[in-house]
Amino acid sequence: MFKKIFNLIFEPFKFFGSRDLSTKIVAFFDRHGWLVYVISFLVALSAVFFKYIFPVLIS
Amino acid sequence: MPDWASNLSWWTLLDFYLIFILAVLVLKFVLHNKRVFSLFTFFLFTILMYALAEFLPLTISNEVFTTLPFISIIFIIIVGAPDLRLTLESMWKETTKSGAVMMGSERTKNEIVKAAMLLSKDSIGGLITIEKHNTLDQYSSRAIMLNSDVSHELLINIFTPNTPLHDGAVIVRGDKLVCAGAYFVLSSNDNFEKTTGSRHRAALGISEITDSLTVVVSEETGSISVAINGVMTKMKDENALNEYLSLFMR
Repeated sequence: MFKKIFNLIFEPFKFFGSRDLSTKIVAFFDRHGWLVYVISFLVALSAVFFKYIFPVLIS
Repeated sequence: MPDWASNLSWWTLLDFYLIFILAVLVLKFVLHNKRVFSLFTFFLFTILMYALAEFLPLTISNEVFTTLPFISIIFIIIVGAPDLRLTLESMWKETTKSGAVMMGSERTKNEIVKAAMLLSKDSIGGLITIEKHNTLDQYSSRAIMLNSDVSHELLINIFTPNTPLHDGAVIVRGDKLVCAGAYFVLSSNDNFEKTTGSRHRAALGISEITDSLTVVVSEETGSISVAINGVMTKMKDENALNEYLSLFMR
């Protein structure tokens, strides 16, 4: 446990790199292609919210 | 109309749609292969560092990280140019393909095994790549198109030394031999011996960037290996190869 924490502090790139996260993430989105559309929808929705609605709410 | 919606109009809908399309494009591009995703992660990291340095009272980091995102874009373009180009080329082709994976039949598998055993017996080098989810169109479009049924006779003929197609790889999609003489990007993985031949490095290279399986027959030793997910495994005998292919092609 402590070794993992020290590894994360001193060698963050190695910590994430050795877990091969990029392969896992790409494979996950390859299996669930529809998630790209869901995330894009949320991104577009939040962009519209922060540009059009949020300024009115705080003013 | 409520107060919060006072800025909204029909143009907002178009704005939303354009942002949505842009986000889909960027995500599809970034999540197309792991190398592009790694480059994008590096870019995100520089942005994060920049944001931290900008909003927190970090004087030295602020000076160092202010220009880092811009430098990283140039760095990514230079370092990742081949991957970015290949991704741009293949991204659209894959989306036009039907989502269902088309794997070969039992007959195709048996023909590949038979060809590999015969090539091994005569110590003839061979490279047979079987496509799965990720399209190999970007490689086949530069090779000699065949679109024929897979047969061991044809495979042996292709790999016979001193013939025009014997040096490249053949690509199998479903029950069809799509092309011959395809050239892949060689793996630069340092974990393998420096003496690993170019045929084996090509097999590893394609297995690192796609989910394909490649059967390699060594010209020097006649040994049969299988490369998948960046790992090369030597096959002990025909049964082992048969089992590997059965698992992959089911």
